[in-house]
Amino acid sequence: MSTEEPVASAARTAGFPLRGYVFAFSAAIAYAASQVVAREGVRELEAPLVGTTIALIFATIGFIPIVWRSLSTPVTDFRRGALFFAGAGIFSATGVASMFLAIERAEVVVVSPISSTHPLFTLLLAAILLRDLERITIRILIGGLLVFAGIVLITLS
Amino acid sequence: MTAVAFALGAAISWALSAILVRLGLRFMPATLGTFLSLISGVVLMVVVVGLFQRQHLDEITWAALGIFAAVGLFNFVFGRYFNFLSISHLGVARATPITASTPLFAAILAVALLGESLNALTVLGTALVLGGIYIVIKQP
Repeated sequence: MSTEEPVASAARTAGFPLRGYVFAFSAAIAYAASQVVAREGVRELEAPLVGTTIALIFATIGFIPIVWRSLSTPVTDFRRGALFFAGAGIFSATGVASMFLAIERAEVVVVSPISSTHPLFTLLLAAILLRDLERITIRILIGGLLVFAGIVLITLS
Repeated sequence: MTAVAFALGAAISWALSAILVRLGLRFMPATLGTFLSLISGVVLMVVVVGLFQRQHLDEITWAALGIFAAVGLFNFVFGRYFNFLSISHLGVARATPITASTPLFAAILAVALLGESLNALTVLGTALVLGGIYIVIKQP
């Protein structure tokens, strides 16, 4: 089964996008598994930024066989794509570092609800910056708010 | 106040990352994009650790290396890659509420693997997350 598909200019695909939802749930489960494993890691090494760097280095090396197999997939504009994805990686790492800096200064019960607002910020920024690419419907907004509320309760529990 | 600023900074950074992924996918497939995002992340983190956390490098043990290698596998090789693939198939608006449900699955794994217990807040939170996901998936 192919994992790659060209991105449509509007995020609407014909039929139910089952593969997309499978990938989304798989990502959530994988992130959750990493958090469970990371709890053990923090006991072993009390420097989460160092741990994150180690994780990134191993992941980059481990990803080489995956990207090697896909090198024949066409690239529309390497320079622009590289800039966007490099920026995505930098912001993602910045987010992790900011999160740890926040946790050093306040309790998780204060930090987690605030950092959990990221899906809401994503939807807000998508509505502003991705107007031509994405359709932010009321249902998506309500769904995002419910997920956020649920995340806060689970984190605080 | 500083902690709030850092936490808000984390949320906005992750949101910007997702937006940039969506923009990048117009020009490059998710696989290559994921790899390039990993490289840029490594470069930034190596600089940060080299400048501010060098004193902790002596604390790295073989066990820590193994554990964080596993974290890298789950978080970046599977988590980030599947996240980027989901955005390429669904768009960032539909993918984000689902990938954001990570705490729900973390709670499930904690109960199943670590013997942690559920409480009313977790159950209520789970219901809200599932309800939100259902609304996103069911939209026409």
